[in-house]
Formats: sequence, C-alpha cells, structure tokens
Amino acid sequence: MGSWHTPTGRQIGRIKTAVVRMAKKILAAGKAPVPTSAANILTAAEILEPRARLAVERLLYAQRLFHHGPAFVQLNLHVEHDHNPHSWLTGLKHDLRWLHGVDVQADPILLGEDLTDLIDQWQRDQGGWKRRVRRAARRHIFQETIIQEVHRWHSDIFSLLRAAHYTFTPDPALLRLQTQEYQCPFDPTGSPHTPTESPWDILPRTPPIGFSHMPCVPDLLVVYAETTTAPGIHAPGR
Amino acid sequence: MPRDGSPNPCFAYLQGIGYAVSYAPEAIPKVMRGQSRLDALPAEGPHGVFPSALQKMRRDLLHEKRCLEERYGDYQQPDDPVQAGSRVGDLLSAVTTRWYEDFCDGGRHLRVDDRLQDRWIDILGRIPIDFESWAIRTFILWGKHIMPDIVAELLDGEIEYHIDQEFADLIYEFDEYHIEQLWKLDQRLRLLDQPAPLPTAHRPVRPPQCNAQPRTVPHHEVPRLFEGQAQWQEDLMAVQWEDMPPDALTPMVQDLELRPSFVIVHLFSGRRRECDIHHWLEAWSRRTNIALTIISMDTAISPVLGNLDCRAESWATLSSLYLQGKIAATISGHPCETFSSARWHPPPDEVASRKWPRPLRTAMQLFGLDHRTWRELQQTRTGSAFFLQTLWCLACHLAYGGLFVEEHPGIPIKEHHPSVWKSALSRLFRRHPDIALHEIAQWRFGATTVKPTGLMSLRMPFFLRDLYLHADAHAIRPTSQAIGVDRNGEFRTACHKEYPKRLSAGIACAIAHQLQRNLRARTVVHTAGPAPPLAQWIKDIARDSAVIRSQASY
Repeated sequence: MGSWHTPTGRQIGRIKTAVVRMAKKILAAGKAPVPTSAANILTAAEILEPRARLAVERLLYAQRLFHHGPAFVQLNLHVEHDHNPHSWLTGLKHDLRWLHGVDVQADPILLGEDLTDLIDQWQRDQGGWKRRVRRAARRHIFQETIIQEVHRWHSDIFSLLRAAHYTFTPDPALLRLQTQEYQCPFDPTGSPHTPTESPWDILPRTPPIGFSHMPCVPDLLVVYAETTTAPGIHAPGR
Repeated sequence: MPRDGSPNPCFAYLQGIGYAVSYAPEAIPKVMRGQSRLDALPAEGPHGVFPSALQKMRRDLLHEKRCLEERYGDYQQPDDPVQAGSRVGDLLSAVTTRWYEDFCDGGRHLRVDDRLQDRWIDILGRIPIDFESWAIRTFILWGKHIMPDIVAELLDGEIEYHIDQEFADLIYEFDEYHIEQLWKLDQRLRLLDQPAPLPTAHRPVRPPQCNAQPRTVPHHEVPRLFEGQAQWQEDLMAVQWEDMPPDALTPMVQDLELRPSFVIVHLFSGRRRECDIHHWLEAWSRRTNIALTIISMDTAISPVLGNLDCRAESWATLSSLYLQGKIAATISGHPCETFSSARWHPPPDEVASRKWPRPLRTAMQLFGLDHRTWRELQQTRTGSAFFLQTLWCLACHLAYGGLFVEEHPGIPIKEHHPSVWKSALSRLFRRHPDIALHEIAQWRFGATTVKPTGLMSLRMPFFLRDLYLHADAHAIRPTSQAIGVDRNGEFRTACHKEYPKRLSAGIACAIAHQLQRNLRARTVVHTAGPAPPLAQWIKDIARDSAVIRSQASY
C-alpha cells in the first residue's frame, strides 16, 4: 500500500465504504451498540480512515525504500517529482505534513521542501521511525475520537432543542455542507472553492495535466517491492 | 403561466390590485444554485408601485406610538421626583405591612370593607391632583420592584397570591398601565427596521464535484477533524435562533418528599462542607417550608454515584431524569483546569526544573492543540466533555423548564486565551432572550484574590440583585493573583476551587428566590414522580450528598 500513488477522492470513498461495511459487521458481532456514522464506526473499531492509513503505510515504506532501496528507484522518484504535479513524492510530502501535525513534538524537518535531512535520518534509523509513525497513527485516532465526541454532543444538543420546537437559521445540520470548501488541485492561485461554484467555472483556469508520459515510477516501486529480498520489505497490494 | 397557455389568473389579479409593473426576470441567488427542486423556492415577485405590507405596518405602528405619546407623554411631576417617589414608596410599603398585621390580628379573614386596594388608593388620593399621573406611575413601579420583596417576607402563599391579585386588579384600571404598550411598539418597530435576512438554501445543495474533475484527482490532503475544528467553530458561529416555543414551566416532582418538591442538581459540587450551596438551599427550604430535593454530585462525595464521566452509569441515570423533565434547577461549576489562563503564564524560576502545565487549548482550537502528550489529550477530552455535558443540561432546561446557573472563570483579557464563553455553542445560547452571562469578581464575596468569574443563568431576571444581597459591602479589592505556586509548591489556584461562603449563599439565594417567584406566579407544573428505580437512585444520592465531608479530598 505504501507504493501506491495517492488515490482520487472517489477511490478513497470506495475504499472507505468497503472498510466501514466490514468494520460494521465486526462491531455488530459484539454487545456494544454500533455507531451510525462512518467516521464513528472507524474510530470505534480503532481503524484509520483510508487516507490516513495510506499515509502511515507510505511513511513506513518511504523509510525502507530510502534506507535499503536501489539508487535508480530513488533517482527516478525525484525525476518523477520534477515533472509530475501528483507524483509519489508529492503525496509523501502531504503525509509528512500530516505526521508533523499529529506528532507529539513539532519537528520542522518534516515540513521542509528539501528531504535530504530526513532521508539522512531514515538511513541512520534503528527502528525509531516505525515506532514514531505507529504512535502517530494511534494519536490520530484518539484526536479524531475527541472531536467526534464533541460533534456528537453538539448534535445531541441541537436534536434536543429541535425536538422541543426550537429552530435555527442556518440549520446546523446543513451548515458544513453549505460552507464546505475544497482546495482545487488545478487552480494555481490556490483559492478555495465552495461547492456551490460550478466545476465548469473552475476548469478553464486549470493547466493541462501532463503526467501521462511518466507512468513508470509507481510500477518500478511495485516491481522493486515484489522482487527484493531485503528484510522488512513486503510486496504491496495493488 | 399555466401549461395549457391560458391566461394567468394570479398575474391578472396582481395587476388588478396595483402591481403595474412590466415583466422583470429574477436571477436565482448564488447560494441556491445546484438545488434539485428549484420549483419549491419561495418567489418574491415583482415590486409594486404602492407601499409594501411592511411599510404599511410600520406606518400604522408609528401612528399608534405617536397617539400614545401624545396621550401619556405630558404629565407633571414634583421638583425632586426621585425623592418624592421614594417617600410614596415607603408609605405604600408601610400601609401594606400594616394591612397584613391587621389581617393577622383579625383572625386571618379577608374583609370586604377593608381591602388593601382601598388603603393604596387612600395614599394615592392624598397626592395633589396635578401629580396624579406621576403618582400612578410611581405606584406601578413600586408594585413591580418593591412589593415582591415585601410579599416574599410574609411566608404565606395564600396572602401572597391575594396581594398580587389586588395589585394586578388595581393597576389594570389605570390608563398609565397601558404605557407598557409603548415599549412593545418600540420593540416591534425595531424588528421591522432590521434588514431582511439574505436568502439561504433551505435544502442541501448538491456538491457540484459529484461527477466533475476534483474527485478524479489525487486526494493529497489527509483529512483531520482535529485540525478543522477552528473552521467548524467559525461556521457554527453563523447559527442563530429562528423560532422558539412557549416557555416551559418549572417542574415540581411528587412522591420524592412528603409534599411535591423541586429537584435541584449541583454538578461538580466538590466535597460537602459547611456553608456551601447545598447547605444554604437546605436552610432556605426549612425556613420557607418549600420542599427541595438537593443532589450534589461529585466524586469527592461519592466515587460511584457522584461520577459525572459521560460513560458512567450515574450520568446515564441523571440524564434520563433530565430528559423526563424532572429537574427544577441545575448549578454547574465544571472544572476549569484545562481552560485556565494560568497555563499561559511562564513557570517561575524556582520551579523551572519541574514540569509546568502547558496551554491545552486556544480560543480558536478550543477542543485541543496539536503536539500535546497522550495524558494532556485525555485531560482535554475530559474537560471538553464536562463542559458540553453542562451545556446539554442547559438545553434540557430550555426544553423542559427550570432554572440553570453555570459558573466558570470570566472571559479572559487576552484574545487568544481559551474560555468556554468563547465557544460557538455557548455564544449561541447567550443569544437566547432568557439566558444572560454576568461577570462578577469573587473578592466582593470574600475571595482573597480578585478572581473574575462568569455566571450564566437561565430564566433568572433578578439574578444579580439576589446574588449581591450576600456581597460584602466593605470588602477591599485584593492585589494578589492566583497564578503560580506558593511557598509549599502548591498551585495558587488550588485553594480557590471552592466558592467563598458568601458566593455560595448568593447563588443559593438567587435560585431559591426565583423558585419562590415561580411558585407565586404559578409558573410551575406538577409532574408525577419518577419510576421506582430512579426515585430510589435520587434518594440514595440525596442521602449521600447530605453528609458533610469537609475532610474529603478530590
């Protein structure tokens, strides 16, 4: 999984649906009541949300790759990153930013554009990175649980008031949907768009996607993972 | 236009009544684009050439207001109206007390030939006729502000009701009583002057990225609710109350005591001690003969029954009582340690080597900060849960009736320091007309530091007046602050966890007096007792919390 390119929003959604369905069946076998929302099911089952799980796997895989991996794969990764806006390294940098946020100590190395120091650290690593990432994953689940509990209390309070015929404007239940913003990956200005904006308003501003000529690096990573005998490297699923 | 092409009767009718305008296309507001059922949107229609209904209503209200002002605005008052009004008030108080004494001496029989109204009229009649209107206004003000205190001291429910009735009957006869309409007219005019709300989508807007590009590109950002909490709170700030049901009555529960009683819950009460809120409420109950069932909940009182962890059985039981509408009043002083501004103070030199509490929240990241240890995160989680449990209780009181007081440190001076009062939900509650946040300083009630404190109350219009009855008028403002550690290495905030005696008395007095007012105004509702297991639980916990445990520790 660590060798994957970052899946699209739709793919992440599909994976999440499948994982939630599975977790729901497992939880239903127990005595505790099964939560209703997907996010609550995942935290109740102490399973990472797919995008966070991918970040964990990719961070572990990156350390192994830069520690034990062949030089040509590492070089190709950098070449791919220079030519492709959605390269494997781009995804890795987002994962590092996530790790920086979740980690117990703020580590500025994780946010640097230049990965040299981090790669040096990986190559000297004696198992501390794995522990750190695993701990960050547990911390992520805990932090999400905290906020989900807060959301649940808010939801309970609003339901209680709504049942007593209090009404609100705008309705808190629709609030997040109406004001949700997403970062348009094609927009060079980086300005957020609201869902009410038509996609056709955005598309003319986007530059052409030019990474069709660079399909080789993920395949190289997979081939490397499947053929290597280095300790700690496992064949990733596709 | 009807689909069969026939003339549009609505359009014809509108033209007939004066909408002499040509066709004008109206664009869909931007926020409503993407809705699947545009035909259900309310249509505003073209603007007519005559005054709108709102303008007509405004004109009528202004006219009515002008008439009332002309009728009642011009009246004569003495040279020193405050002093004279005070003298009239004293006379009215004296005749009321005298009448009550005569009533008691006369075998407590209401006599037709000696009505209290007559005695009041006798006083008002002696004032020169030029000042008649002023005298009546003074009488109305006396009845609203002074008479309730006199009535409260009589300790006789029947006669309290009689005096209220006499006053209500009398003032209704006076024209001056109807001046209150002016205030109502002002309020309606203010509402009319407010700009019309912008149109908002009344059903979920379909996200446009369903079948479009953004969902087919890599999803690089790792979503974190913890990181997005500031944005979420900011969004929540936009929520406003739209409509409210009629006010619920204060519940009075049967079968718990010999007579119907008010159930009062004190959450996070700390250990039971002399002169705490529980003590003052009990004393008031004995004095006034109004039955109270007081529940003080804290682990310092009972580790099991007083456990307010949201996963504990005792909380589940208590919440079921709230949902059944059995609780008449709640006082909550949930722990403030994770919200404390003292955490932002740098450690003093003598404890520099020791672990020093770090800020766990900011005003924006109110439910937790990044880069905190597991233990700190757990502390934050518990603190947030206690705060939200308190707000949940407030929501229950809004829905099912009753009074509520929440105590927490005042709003910090520094903008980035966290406080429960800065949360979106707390701000929303404070926009409710019956909820008010009062900021007091505890040194006036005997604290050794200034200690600014916020007190949020529900349905308690006389809260501050009742509270300050117990303030120390001769207190001197202290200069020390409860920040850092003392000589023994203890945190200076530790000794301020418990309320000073006067503050406890003030809060208890505010609750008790308001319950008494509700009882007198007949705004209480008698409810059946809870199911036997719940009733037994209440009795058990009330028995536990009745025992003084001054030596207990947290």
